[in-house]
Amino acid sequence: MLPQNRRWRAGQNLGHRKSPRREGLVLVLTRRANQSIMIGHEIVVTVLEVRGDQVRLGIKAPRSIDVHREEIFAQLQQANRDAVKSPKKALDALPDFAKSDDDDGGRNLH
Amino acid sequence: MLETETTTDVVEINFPAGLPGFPNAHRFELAPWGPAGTPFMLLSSVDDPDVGFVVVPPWVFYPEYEFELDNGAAERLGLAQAEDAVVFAMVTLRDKPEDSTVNLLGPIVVNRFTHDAAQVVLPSAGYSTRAPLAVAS
Repeated sequence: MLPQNRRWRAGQNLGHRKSPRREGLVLVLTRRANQSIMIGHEIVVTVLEVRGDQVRLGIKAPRSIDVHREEIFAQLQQANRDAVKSPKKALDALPDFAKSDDDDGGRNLH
Repeated sequence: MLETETTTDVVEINFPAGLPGFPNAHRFELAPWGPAGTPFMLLSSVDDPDVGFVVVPPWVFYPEYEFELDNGAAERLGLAQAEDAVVFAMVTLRDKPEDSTVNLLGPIVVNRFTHDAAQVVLPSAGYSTRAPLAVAS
């Protein structure tokens, strides 16, 4: 029997799911508009608006922490992995056409 | 301006937050790459010899390229004004040189004084991570 002083708001559902295959917890929370989630002591994620299948989120985080849309970050990760060349390999693939493409010979680094 | 005119100059660059996909890569060296006269440089990891990137100032291929650096990124890099920054774009080389591309969505921004750097994300700028190098000019 639940202790009498613990109240659960309608619509609030808190679940913990710990998968043995993954590190760390996956926390599943349900929020309404204008409700928030705290990550650590300083990061606050607020549901600003729910409209159809879109959720507008407000993120408050210290400036030292980057906040990105996950798919953008994943895109950047993949782009970096594609771009990695060990220096020896790169020397074989010099794009010749780039040598004097620019008016100032590319010497004017802005 | 980072001294890049002499071919023997190697500059140390530090990425405090690493790079997306390479979170533990912090210390890099930036050196000119290719024959004298090419704008390309090599950004190679000091700690992992297999991690290296060919980079180029984006304006060499896209003279109109511009972006706004968000305050968080500017503060993390200690940049008071745009002139304090030197910008590079990552190049992805392909077997056919004309298929090579440059990443305009995630430029490398370096503080010219401290040599701290970060790869910043420009999500709303509409730029591509695979902009063609071979631009018809």
